[in-house]
Amino acid sequence: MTPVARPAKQWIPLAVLGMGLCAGIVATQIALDATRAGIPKLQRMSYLPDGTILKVAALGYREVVADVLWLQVIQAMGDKRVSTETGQWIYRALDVVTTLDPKFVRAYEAGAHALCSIVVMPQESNQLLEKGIRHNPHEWRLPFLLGINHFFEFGDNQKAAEAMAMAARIPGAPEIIARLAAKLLVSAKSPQQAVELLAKVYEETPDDNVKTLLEQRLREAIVERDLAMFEDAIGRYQAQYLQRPARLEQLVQAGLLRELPQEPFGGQYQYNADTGEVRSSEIKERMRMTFRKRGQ
Amino acid sequence: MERLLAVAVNTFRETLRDKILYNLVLFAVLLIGSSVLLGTLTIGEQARIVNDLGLAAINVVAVIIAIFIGIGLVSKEIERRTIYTLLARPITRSQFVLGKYLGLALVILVNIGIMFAMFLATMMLSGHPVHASLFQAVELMMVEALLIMAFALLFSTFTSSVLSATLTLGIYVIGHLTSDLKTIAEKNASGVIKSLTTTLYYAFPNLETLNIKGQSAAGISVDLGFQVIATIYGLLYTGLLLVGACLIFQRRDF
Repeated sequence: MTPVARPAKQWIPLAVLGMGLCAGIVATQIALDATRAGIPKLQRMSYLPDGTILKVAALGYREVVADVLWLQVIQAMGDKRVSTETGQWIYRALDVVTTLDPKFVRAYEAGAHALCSIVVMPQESNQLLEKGIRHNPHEWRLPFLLGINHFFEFGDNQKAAEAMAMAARIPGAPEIIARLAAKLLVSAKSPQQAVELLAKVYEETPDDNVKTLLEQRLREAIVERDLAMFEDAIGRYQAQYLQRPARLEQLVQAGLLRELPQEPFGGQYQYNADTGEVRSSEIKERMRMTFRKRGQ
Repeated sequence: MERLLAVAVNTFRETLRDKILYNLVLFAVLLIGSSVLLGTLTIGEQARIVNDLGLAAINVVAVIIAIFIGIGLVSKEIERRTIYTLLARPITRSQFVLGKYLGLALVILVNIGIMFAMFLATMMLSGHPVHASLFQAVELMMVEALLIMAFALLFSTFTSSVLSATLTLGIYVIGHLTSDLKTIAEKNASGVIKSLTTTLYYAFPNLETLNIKGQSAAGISVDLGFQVIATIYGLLYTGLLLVGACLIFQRRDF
């Protein structure tokens, strides 16, 4: 049997058609990219559904969806210029990521950093950290960052001290946080809390070197507590007798102090009746946090 | 029993000849490629990304294979007219169905096993720690795949392939949402809705209990008691579906 004779070069029109279609596809793709180039990439993603809805829609693949979104957020953070709108989107996306996977500690951490560094959104940064702390009470880094935010972004010593103290109490937190928290508590006029916190961390630390460091800071905190007590008593004395006491013992006699506290370093409390100032003979510098606000 | 095993072994061989194992190569390339690529994109947590992606990929591929080889069980035999010669042999219809299922189950278990081995190799080569919890997650994925395949088999005994695939996919989606049904039942004051949603909750398989990917990717092992009960739950449900499949297949005329 002879093969059926085919017209020669029958494939040519088909090949030409195929190549034409290929060119058409590439051209339309380029045209599409060009029209979309004007729209920032993130704006296209602003229709991101709410985290609680995505959580259900992702079926059993929540973590992967969270990962993919997380990678998008990282790309957005890495842009040369990050506008406020992008910052808003970053916050929203991070909120969705952490709703999908509330245990994604790195997302809270990096997100909180980014919202205070590449854009100025400390309020959102704090909201993210507070959400992280609710879901991950065993991660000391989250309250630590919250403390940093309160201190540097808001200048709120009290809240910063509370957050730091929370971080210091979580097992695994470096002891330096306890010392930092104590300093903040003293600055926030809560030296008694500083003493309690340091005493607790001191009890729980097995390391002798760390204990020595903590002991030093604990004594400093006790001095601060005593000095605060003196200042308060002297103020009340002055209000009562319309003059400063001549000696510290008069505070005890007037019933304003139960007894004169012992100076924890083995020195003594010196009183200057002219200025009304009390200081420890052993400490040159008072415990205080100093910093400059953004832009200063 | 011997006849049942004969059917199972033949099914296993036949499925391997269908080149189903080719997906493994694709899977390996995808997994290794993506983990290397994505690792360069993230800030830290590379192990987490590789873990999440790897487990999700194993799960998706396992479910797809379970559905698509499960639905072909009876329909293929009917299309090829081999069902007549098979049923003329001295095996009961139940033996035929169960043998087929066992063969396919073996295929899927081997598949998941190889994919998991590739995943572990990727983890080790990229220097990430391998947690024991990963083995737990994969064990429950195997149970899930067996359960899904039993659904596909049940549907394929009385409907066409396309319809079986659609129904099984539907069951897979519903199975991951039943825990929300329970929430609705708890929050709803109406007695009728409450009993209806509670009934639906127990009637549909709760696939979310077999999903511990997120937890195990973070390296947290689940309680061994939970693992055992979840496995038993899945296998009991699978058993029920197989009984149903046998009953329907016995009454079917060709």
